[in-house]
Amino acid sequence: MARSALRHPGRAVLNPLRSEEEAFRFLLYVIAVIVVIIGVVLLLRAAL
Amino acid sequence: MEAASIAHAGAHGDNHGPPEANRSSRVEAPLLGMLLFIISEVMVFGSFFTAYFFIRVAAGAPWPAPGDHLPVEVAGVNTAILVSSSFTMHWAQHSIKNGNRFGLKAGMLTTFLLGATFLFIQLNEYANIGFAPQDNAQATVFYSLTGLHGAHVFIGLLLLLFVTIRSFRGHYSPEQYRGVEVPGIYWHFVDAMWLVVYTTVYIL
Repeated sequence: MARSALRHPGRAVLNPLRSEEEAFRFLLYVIAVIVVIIGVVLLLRAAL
Repeated sequence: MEAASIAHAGAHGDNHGPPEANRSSRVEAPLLGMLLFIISEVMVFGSFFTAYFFIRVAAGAPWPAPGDHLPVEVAGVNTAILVSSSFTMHWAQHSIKNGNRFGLKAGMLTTFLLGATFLFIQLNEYANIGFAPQDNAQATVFYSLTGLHGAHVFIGLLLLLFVTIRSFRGHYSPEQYRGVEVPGIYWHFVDAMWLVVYTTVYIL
């Protein structure tokens, strides 16, 4: 896996501590996950 | 002997100052420091989240305590303010990488002001929320989690202030922007942590 990441630097695993750009990309993923969680919770609350 | 030491000094170019520190990691020292710091921070927040989930799941207590009300809408607007500050931080970083000094200065100043607004609204919320940390376990955990995060925002604001002042003084360049990057990583971490705090404390 590490060798594959070295051979294909564009496909390296996201590391939010490596650079600001990756930290920002990680934040966008966190926002997406949080939005989904809040949406599911609100839907469940409305349904119950 | 003397000739050997002169040759040794010559091989390293300059013999002034202490020898170069040994680096066992491939990660640069400032990034490694931030990495270890953030890992320790995740553990600190984890201990407070443990207290939160213990009260709600293990003890089965209502959240918030009966009679207390959490201002979900105001905190939601505050969340949007903090999230937008990460976008302006990213803009500042992107600008200096491309040699855009105006973008750096405007981005850093906006990020600082948005962060300060977040902290101000948080303090205003404490003043008007109607319960104190010592009132019940839920209140203690609420103030602990949001206060711990607020302390991190305060530290982040100090870092942002230094970067903003330095950017207005003409520091940083497309080749040297590590001083913007490391506080930026910290700021995004603080932002991501708030999203988790907001979701668990205010929404769930």
